[in-house]
Amino acid sequence: MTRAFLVETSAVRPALGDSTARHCAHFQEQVGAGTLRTSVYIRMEFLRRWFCDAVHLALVIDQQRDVAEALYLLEQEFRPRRLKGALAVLGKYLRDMGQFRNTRLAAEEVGHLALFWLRRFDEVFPTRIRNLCRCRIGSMTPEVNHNRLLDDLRAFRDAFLTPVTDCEVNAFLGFAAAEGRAAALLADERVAALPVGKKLRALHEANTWITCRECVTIGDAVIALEQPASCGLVHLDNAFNELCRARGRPHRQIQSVVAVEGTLPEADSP
Amino acid sequence: MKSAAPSLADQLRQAIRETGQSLTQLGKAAGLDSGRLSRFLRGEGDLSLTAAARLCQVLHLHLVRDGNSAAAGQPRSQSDYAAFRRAQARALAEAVFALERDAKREDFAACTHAVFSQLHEAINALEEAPLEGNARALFRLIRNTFLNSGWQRYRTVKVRRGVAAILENLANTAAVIPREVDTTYDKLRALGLDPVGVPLPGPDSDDEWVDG
Repeated sequence: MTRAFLVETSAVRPALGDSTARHCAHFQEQVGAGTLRTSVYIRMEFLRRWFCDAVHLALVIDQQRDVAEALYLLEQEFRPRRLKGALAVLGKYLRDMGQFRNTRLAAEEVGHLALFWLRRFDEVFPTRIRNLCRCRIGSMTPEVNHNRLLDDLRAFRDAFLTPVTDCEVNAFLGFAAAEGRAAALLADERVAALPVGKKLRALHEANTWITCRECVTIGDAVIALEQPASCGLVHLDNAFNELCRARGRPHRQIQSVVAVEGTLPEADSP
Repeated sequence: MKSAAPSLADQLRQAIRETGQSLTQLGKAAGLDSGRLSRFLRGEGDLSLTAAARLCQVLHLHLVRDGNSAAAGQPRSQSDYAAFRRAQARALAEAVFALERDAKREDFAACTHAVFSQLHEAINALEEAPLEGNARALFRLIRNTFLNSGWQRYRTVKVRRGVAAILENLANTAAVIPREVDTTYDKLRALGLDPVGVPLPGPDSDDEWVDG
């Protein structure tokens, strides 16, 4: 029987073939002929991390006099760990495409790229596990007329980033219940000691009402709680070693690109 | 379509009149007979290209592309843009089809570069066309298939025919609708091509993933 794998956000790049050749090969070795799955929640993380960031870049570029100025501005604006890699990749791409002087075309290039990335994600992950946490935004797909690309992308980004205030993730986590999912997970001391465990505990103890704003801080826990027993979780993040153990779920930790290559590849360097 | 811009000869006549020099002086400086210049000014004779060039040198004139797109041979109205896109797509379809003669060459990458550049130019030339955004997206998808050694795939007949068919369709479409971008993506993927072109950016350091 073919095995099914739920690919966690940290392992999405090699799954899409977007890491180094050796890293992608390493991923393939780990999953073999297994079928790849995603979840609405993981897709939400993809949209937030790659799609919305790229749209943000596009919108900033469109408002500047030149592309270099826009990239400089963005470098100042963001936490280094967040977007430096993206800025390096997109800056190189725009240079290669000869779109470093024309902000309108550069913005459009980046906007299209965001759409193409999402398209490929949905192509590689046609199957999703049950959306137990009832995330409402992870299944959103932008409806775009390329004749008004940036307007449509901005509208999508605004809608996506508006926190859902009545999300059923609250019932899913069960903060109010003594034996809710969150409490059961936090009963494991090693999970509780993880950074995500500490965040979950703080929210749980305060019986915080979860909106998208809080939910993004406990993403690993939500993913772990949704993982079905029939799917092995493929991840890079150490936290899932504990989360999956505590949940009694199968998992495979793949090596990082640095571990495989010995260094961060040039394309990923800022 | 008749251009409203003055002809090159008319512009040269105007410049001669505005120079303030006599035809004798001008003729001497340019090494041209003043009588010949006089006939040219009256519209009774033409100047050779060499004579015109000498005159331009003396008058410090040079050719400059007109910013007005219609005068520069670029489309201006939406119907112009659509016609321009159709013509570009048709030329590109032929260029892709013509890659057949070079498909076995070792330097095939260099042969495909002309198509890649043509796609670039088509995107840039349609920049100002508000209703050609879908066409630009479509051209980008095809352009990206040449990236990351994707040009190798164009050695096969199936890929050349498939991409040429997409371009021919674009050449016969009055207005490109958003759905065509999606179907083009699917068609290119079915041909084994990568229309995305750029990998997802990675984290700045591996720690971000490994340590959550």
